[in-house]
Amino acid sequence: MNKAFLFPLVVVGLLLAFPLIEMDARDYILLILFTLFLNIVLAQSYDIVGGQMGYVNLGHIVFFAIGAYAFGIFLNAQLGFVLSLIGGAGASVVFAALISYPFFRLRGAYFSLAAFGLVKLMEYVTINMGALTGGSNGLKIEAGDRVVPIFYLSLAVVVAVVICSWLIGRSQLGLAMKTIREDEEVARDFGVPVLKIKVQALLISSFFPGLMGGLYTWQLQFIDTDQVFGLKIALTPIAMAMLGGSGLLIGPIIGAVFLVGVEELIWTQLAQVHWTVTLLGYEVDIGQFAHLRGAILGLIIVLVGLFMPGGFARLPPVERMLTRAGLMTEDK
Amino acid sequence: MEFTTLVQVIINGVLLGGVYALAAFGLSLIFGVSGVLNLAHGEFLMVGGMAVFLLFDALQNVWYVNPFILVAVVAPLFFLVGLVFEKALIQPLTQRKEHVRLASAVLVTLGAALVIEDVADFASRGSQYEKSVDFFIPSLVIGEIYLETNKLVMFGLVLILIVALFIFLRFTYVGLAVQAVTQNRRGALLVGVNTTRINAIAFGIGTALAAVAGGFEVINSMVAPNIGLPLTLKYLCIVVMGGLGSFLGVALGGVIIGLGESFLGFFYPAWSQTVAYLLLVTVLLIRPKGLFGK
Amino acid sequence: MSAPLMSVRALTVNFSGLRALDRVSFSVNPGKITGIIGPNGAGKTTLFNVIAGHYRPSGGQIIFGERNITGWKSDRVCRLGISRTYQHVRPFLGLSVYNNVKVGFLYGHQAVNWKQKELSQEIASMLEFVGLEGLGEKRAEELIPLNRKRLEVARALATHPRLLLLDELIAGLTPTETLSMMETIRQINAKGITVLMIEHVMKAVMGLSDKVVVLHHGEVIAEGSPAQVAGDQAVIDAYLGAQH
Ligand SMILES: Nc1ncnc2c1ncn2[C@@H]1O[C@H](COP(=O)(O)OP(=O)(O)O)[C@@H](O)[C@H]1O
Ligand SMILES: [Mg+2]
Repeated sequence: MNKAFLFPLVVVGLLLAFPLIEMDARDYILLILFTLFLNIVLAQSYDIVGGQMGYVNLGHIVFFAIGAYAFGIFLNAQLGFVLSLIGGAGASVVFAALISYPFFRLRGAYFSLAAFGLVKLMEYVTINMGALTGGSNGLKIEAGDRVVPIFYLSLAVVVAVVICSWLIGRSQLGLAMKTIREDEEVARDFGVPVLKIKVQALLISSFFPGLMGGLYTWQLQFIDTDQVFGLKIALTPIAMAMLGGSGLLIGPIIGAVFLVGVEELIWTQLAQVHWTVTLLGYEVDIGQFAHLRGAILGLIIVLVGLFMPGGFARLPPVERMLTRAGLMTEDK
Repeated sequence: MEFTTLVQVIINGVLLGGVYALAAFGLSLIFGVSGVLNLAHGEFLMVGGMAVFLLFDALQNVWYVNPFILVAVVAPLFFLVGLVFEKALIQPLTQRKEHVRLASAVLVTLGAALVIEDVADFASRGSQYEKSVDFFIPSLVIGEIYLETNKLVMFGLVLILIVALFIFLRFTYVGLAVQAVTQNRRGALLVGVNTTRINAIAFGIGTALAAVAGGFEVINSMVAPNIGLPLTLKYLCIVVMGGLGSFLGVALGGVIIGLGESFLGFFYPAWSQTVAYLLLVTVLLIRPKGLFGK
Repeated sequence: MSAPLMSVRALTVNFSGLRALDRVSFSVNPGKITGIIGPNGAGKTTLFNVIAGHYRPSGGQIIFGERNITGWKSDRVCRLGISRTYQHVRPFLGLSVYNNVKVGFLYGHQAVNWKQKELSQEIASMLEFVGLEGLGEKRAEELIPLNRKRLEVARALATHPRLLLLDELIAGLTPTETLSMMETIRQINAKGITVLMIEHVMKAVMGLSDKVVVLHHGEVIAEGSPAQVAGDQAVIDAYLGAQH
């Protein structure tokens, strides 16, 4: 068997076994892993359009938000869990289909801007459709014990999105998407039906966040517009993809692991402690700086944009290591 | 709707639109010249407003100064801030391939926006979150129509600035070079325009305009650390709607959105903030390059 | 004489005030090589762009085979059997040489369901034909300028065009490279592909073309065999005028 499959299989195997271990911190760790899976799905699905096709879709989070709300609404309408989940994903895909024609008339920065604007528009629409969405009070659902099922389901979505993205990368569709990224006008000159390809890519990339949105609502039992339309959640997955290496299968995963790791392990812990040091005669509480985590996140993002436009995975030593492990997909 | 109310709503809309147009001009200038979507634009507006507030506050007990004068003091400082920002963060990206440049610029300006917002937020801890300057001149009353004098002064200043900008772009060498680069970077380079310098200048002016708009915001309503990104979005809507590189488009875009918000704010207040985005999507559906785009 | 493969009738293109093409008419005979010459800015590249479907002409028609393809989008034009190279080469820089060519096979005039193995062989022999053997795995951006031109030819041929548009393919090559590129063009033509080529290098146009069309300020000022055109007073004036 190809050694490229070995490492992912081992990781997935370990993850599958993890909930079976009896330990105190189990549920806490499962929760962090859920956050990680959520981010991988968002970053990886973003990168289908953003990395492989080169359309920086700053509005990707809208698909997630629609999935989250649609799931909640369907569930409250007694549609049952499975149907609601599929319905949520379906709603995202339908929405993607609706916006794809007008939005893909736009190129480059124009597309990114308009898509970004969509986040705010949909947020206001959601707030104003209170009868359906609960408006600014948020949407509540009832759910029982679900820590373990949610872990397995979200892991399944991760596996699905990674496999899907990998298959696209090797397919004719993927090649057409890359030609669009390199030079859309030339792609068209060589017969690539540009609009059709773009629409297909967007539909695929909208499905997974839609699915994940449902799981998110199920997990939290309560969502509001700040949570699912917030600018931070909108932009972090995109930063993750670029940080890890946009256009490479492993890139969004590396980026998500890194940023979720930084967020959960360092800042959450730092906020708990109250070390005080005396600096130039002032008492300074180190834990205070945990409040600057948005700034640190921003700084990391700036540095990546400035110094490693290809992301971690394309740094030569990392690239060599990944290649040896068989994890480096080619982006050419 | 009564006639006087109608007039009032229209006047408010136009006044609002004028300030929108001012900040959006800054963004459009930057976007046009460097091809960079500056997602930190709204942050400069916010910090500009904060700066006016802090100066006003510090001077308050010593010397009661007209805050509009403070705006004039702050603007040149932000021209320099813009120059430095461009030099440090944007200049290094210019040589990259197009789609890489777009992505890197998103990262860099977005990251900068997060840093600025978070630091402003951190610095505001322990003081009031929304800051505004108490400056009040009695309203002008014409018949049954109220005109807030503050807003009138502001609108006058906006008009003066827009005219000044127009003259700058039309009749000065640097202004013409800015337009040349906006229309055709390669061509401008070929005829000997120093595009690096023009980029920096455009960033400086754009940032200064944002700071001025921020000063107006803080006098007129308020600024808070978290207003940056949403405002950036709104200005982006105006720029895209008007059409890249079209100053007329930006002016019109600003006023249309100002009017739209003012009208919807009257009839359906809950929907007034959606105007910019709805109009954006509608306009792009009909004209992908914006109202005045080529 | 057989019917022309393509005829351009009174084609006019305006760019905000500038008339780049002014009622241009000429025809391209099947199986032949037609040359287009004219001073810089004459509108030659614009002519290619409008045939390829980049912009809609302000007036006139383009008839290809039996069809009126005026205003068709470029992907449709390609699938119908017209392919091209660019004056300023535009390979997909970030993609491998192999994939650059593959696009042509998958989406061009002969966009059938290729079998994986067959396709690999076809691409390999195409690369060999233009002189890029062994470079398939390289990214196009790693190629030297000459090889980028060759790649453009391979990508265009991969679409299986009935009409191939070459825009200043030879300009900038050394004398030896020129000869080998001329040979390649001849071989392409020998496969039955009709060629329409823009060229400044007189030796190449005159040596290869069955017919030459001369453009000047967006108008056709002469049309005929290379010898006829070379002796035409209007052509001589246009070129001398361009030099002064
Ligand atoms: N997209 C365009 N917009 C405006 N003007 C153009 C455009 N493309 C070409 N032109 C102008 O049309 C004329 C013909 O250009 P071109 O077709 O490139 O000439 P040639 O290939 O014969 O050198 C030139 O004056 C050129 O500046
Ligand atoms: Mg040319």
